[in-house]
Amino acid sequence: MAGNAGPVQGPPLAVEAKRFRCAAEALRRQDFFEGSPFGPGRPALLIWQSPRALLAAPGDARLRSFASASRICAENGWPVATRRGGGRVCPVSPGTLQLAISRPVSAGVTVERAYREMVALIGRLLDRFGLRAACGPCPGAFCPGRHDLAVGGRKIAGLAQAWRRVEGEMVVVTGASLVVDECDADLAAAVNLFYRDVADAPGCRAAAIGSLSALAGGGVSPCDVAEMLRAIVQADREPA
Amino acid sequence: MTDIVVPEGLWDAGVNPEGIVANWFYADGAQVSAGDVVAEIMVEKSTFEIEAPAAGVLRHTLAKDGVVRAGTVIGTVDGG
Repeated sequence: MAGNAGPVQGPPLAVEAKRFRCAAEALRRQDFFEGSPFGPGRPALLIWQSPRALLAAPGDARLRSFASASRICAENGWPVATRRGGGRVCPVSPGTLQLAISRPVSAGVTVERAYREMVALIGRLLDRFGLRAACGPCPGAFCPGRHDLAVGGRKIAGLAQAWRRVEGEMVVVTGASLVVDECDADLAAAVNLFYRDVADAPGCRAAAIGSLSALAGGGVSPCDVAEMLRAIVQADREPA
Repeated sequence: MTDIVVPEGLWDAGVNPEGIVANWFYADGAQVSAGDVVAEIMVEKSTFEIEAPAAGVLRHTLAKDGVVRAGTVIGTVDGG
């Protein structure tokens, strides 16, 4: 089956890197192409940053406690914005980078292949730091899923995906949040604050979260990583 | 009457055979147009919008949070 094949193969990605005023604005760009220089018909990588926020999944937005949790989190410096992709709450901050690969859906594009494209991109980034990530569920981390990327058992990236029609084009957006240089305890505390009134919510542990900078020995900034990602994608566009 | 079907081949059923109806965006009995996004299904951390295949009256065959597989009929549109 197509899902067992490699990552999506197709035209090279256009790249946009942008720092947004808030996560909600970034999600409007990522999920609805608001202000996009490319439009949904062109395969593209968006690399974005925003001030601290919690990205809630559609299921989170249906929790009975959503409104009160959002208010409390905002009062504590973590405003909540709802994304299209599934999963659970994902914390973002100036110390994390969010990546979103968007592709118009065509033959051979499947959930698995789109995820593998993002996993491969992050894998190539980690290669530059001499790091290798395991792909699989990372218990105790934020927004756990089958495409978590962890180094030494600590999650540094989580992936989610949304398929929707935009301007007449069916598009798959595969998103990733990469922890570059951020305090693991702050991220875990923010996630646990959001779920404090949800009885069956999985707890988030700081020890299950890593950061690229710490794993690479320090001194790695989100700006450095964004430039590396741009260079990796640029290399794909140039003839061998 | 036209079935609203979960498309085949979107995800690897060998890895994860089932998803859920995460949301209905129109009530049972609502009038919809062809192409309206009527529902959202979720498989692990992937969400899919499901469009009305025709214009008419929407009927929910499967309730919110109902389990789906590829090919599952989640509702119908009765064009009268």
